[in-house]
Amino acid sequence: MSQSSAEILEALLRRNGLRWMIDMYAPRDQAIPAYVDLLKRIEPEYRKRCGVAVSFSPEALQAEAERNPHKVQAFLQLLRPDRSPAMLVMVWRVLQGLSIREVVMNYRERDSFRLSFTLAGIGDSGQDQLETYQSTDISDAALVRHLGVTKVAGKPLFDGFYALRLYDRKQ
Amino acid sequence: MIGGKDIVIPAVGSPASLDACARVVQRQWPHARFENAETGEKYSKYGDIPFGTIRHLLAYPNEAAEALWDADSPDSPVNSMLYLILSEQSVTAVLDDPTAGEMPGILEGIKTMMEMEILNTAAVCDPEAA
Repeated sequence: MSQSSAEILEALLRRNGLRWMIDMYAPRDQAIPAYVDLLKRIEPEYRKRCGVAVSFSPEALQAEAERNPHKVQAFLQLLRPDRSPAMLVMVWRVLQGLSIREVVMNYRERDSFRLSFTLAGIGDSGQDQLETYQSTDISDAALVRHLGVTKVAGKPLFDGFYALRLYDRKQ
Repeated sequence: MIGGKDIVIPAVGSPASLDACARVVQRQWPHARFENAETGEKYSKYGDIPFGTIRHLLAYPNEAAEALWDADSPDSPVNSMLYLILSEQSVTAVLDDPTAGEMPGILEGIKTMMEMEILNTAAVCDPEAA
């Protein structure tokens, strides 16, 4: 990890009202390396699932933030050191425009948790291409609060992931 | 020429709002193409749009409709282009006929998306108070 990558990520987090993600991490000086490591682990997962290479480096996120600051902010808000790379790939795919075809969440107190997202995109043939992402980590339930929640003609619709409009009083 | 019906929809004037509008368009027009109305920059799909730098967005239902507009053809069908303008407190949709084709669904979709809690509700992040 280069020093500049760490600095870029720290600046991105601060600029997006997420300084607490650094301050609350223990030990604090390991926060940025942990997040940079997580970003590195997303890349092979994305390549495995989507067949193309996409960089999630701090530099790439900074560049994307110039084009789509709201998408990068939503993505950064969902970073946790223990977040599964697969679920972060799922978030990025929705930010890229895939629709959310199905969400299934099952929870049993002190027993089990399961969260499944099925996304749909349009393939080269014009047919729907489905992608399924699953988690058994209850911390991934936090993803749900970032969903766009609405109705179309009275029918339920999850559409998009959005940043919570956070105001950090310490910024 | 576009007919020029202006539909003003209250909204938070953020890139996320215009993004949500484009998602509605893409849902109704799966082969939609987009254009920065101020610079003429073209986007062949939703995922290519840099919402952070755009406040005036044109949407076409498909490549053929876009080509007709590019050719300044008088044969452009009704509602073959939608012009979205992001302002501080609203999104304005400029179109031919709000009752024709997929347009009622698009306008209703934009209206309901702009009302989403996540676009309108602010939260305070204050670890010291936690």
